[in-house]
Amino acid sequence: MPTATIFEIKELFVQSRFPTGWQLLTVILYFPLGSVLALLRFFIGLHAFVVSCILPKMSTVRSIVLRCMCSVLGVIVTRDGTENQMKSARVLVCNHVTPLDHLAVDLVMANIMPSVWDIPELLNWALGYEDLGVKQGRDVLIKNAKKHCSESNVPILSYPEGASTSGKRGLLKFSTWPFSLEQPVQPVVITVRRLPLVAITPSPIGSRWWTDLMWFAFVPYTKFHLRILPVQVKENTESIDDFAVRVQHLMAQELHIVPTKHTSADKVEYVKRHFDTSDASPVPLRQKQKEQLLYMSDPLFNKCQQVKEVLPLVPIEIIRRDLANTRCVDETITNILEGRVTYTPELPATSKAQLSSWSTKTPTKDQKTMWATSSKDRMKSYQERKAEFIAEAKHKYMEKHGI
Amino acid sequence: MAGSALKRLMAEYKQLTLNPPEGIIAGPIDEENFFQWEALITGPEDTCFEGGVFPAQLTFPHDYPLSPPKMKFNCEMFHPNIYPDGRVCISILHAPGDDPMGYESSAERWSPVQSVEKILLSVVSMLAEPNDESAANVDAAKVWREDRDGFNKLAEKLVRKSLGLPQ
Repeated sequence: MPTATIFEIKELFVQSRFPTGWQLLTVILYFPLGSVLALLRFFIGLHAFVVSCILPKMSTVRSIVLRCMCSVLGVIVTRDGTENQMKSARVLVCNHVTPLDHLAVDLVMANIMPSVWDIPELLNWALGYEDLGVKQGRDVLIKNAKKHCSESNVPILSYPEGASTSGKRGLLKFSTWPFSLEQPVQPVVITVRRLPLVAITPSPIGSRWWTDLMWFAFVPYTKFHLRILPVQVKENTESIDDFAVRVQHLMAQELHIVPTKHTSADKVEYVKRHFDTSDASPVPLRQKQKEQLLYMSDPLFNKCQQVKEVLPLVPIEIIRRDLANTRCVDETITNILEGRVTYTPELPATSKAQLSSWSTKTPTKDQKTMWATSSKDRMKSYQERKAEFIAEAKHKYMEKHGI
Repeated sequence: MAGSALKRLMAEYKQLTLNPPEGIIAGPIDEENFFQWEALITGPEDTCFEGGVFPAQLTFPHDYPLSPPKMKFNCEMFHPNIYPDGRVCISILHAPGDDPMGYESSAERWSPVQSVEKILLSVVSMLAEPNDESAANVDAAKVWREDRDGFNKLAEKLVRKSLGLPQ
């Protein structure tokens, strides 16, 4: 087996929707025509959608009508490997390259997809999704999917990668849920081609599904090629993980790309990093509460955060008010600590009882300890207090025990 | 990050100096390295550790207060929740999710709203009430559970030792 993860995650995606060089020129020349085409297709698309809803799911008529309609819309689906197709296979796994993969596979092999959104049942049904309880967690999903497999003859389509890639360099690591249904798995590999003259990337990283869809209508055509691979069955000696890895390698080999160990979570992380151009605030996300978000647009926001980090129990409004005067993080911290600014401490939900140190205790005047400004004096004072502290404890102990 | 850690440590040091909690004194050993502190903890009254002054060392990470400090006693200790090498094992010193003993509820975990003072107060209550369900020192937990008088005698010895008194 070829080894995985040789390149970075960013190489799995295409960054820009538009090509460069002469290809960009042809796109510009094509633009007026493409716009008209997109508009026309929008209306035809509505009809195709209605037809797909009305006709019964597994019928041949539906499949033919839809394929014609889709060709008009610029979605051409071809396939090979039909001899590998097994009618009884209930689980289809395919790689994910565009938001329309599901439609392309549906045209060739009617299927349902586990819905991941909270949308009304009618819309779920119209889009070919079925609520298998993805939201309630993996165990529920697997249970529902197993039930579906035993009751219905419509196969379940899944994208084990969990997120789309360019489909040109590598496959993301497979999630194991489609492989844990105790069913034979039919792998399908998808490749997408567009006319080289209008080389617009179907789904660049970070794009929204509806913008992808718009460009589908714009380009002359998009050709989906599906290759159906022989059905795979989990061997007795094999773990579910090994089974998933085996199918991933098989599909990668068929696509002449590399199976990687990057996961869909890595992609989410990458997208976040890639598109987050605002300077990162040093505070962890969970700490940013709603009210703090209001200050995001504030020029003092970063300074407020810095003070908040040092003194977490001081309400942010108080910090902000003082910062507006001082414009200096250190000065505000000093003001708060020395009691020049009064406030009611914010209690963290969990440790109300423990609150002791951060309250507005103002230093009592008769205290002998002072806060020296030079570090040398502070260290000296600490050593003195320490010696005194030990001597006092010793004295107290000896007194009590009569030594 | 180290900058805000320093500011926060300075603020806590100041707070502890001006308003020291009873029986506790803490601060950086040498201000050249603000991430290394020393703390002296007095054994709480009406417990077997009463009157002893136990020195401990606190080591802060550079991303403090996001991550908790580590704490280690520099003197001989015999306590169910203190490892034989002096490391302190209490939940407030662990971030949520990092659960070496697999027993702690996340309510008492480390978070940036905790502080050195709260850690030291937790250690004081740990000295007063050992938690023998999650023993870091199995021998101490056993003696604590099965031979309380023996445990008290050992503790008394440690108290005297910590004060430099004849045992």
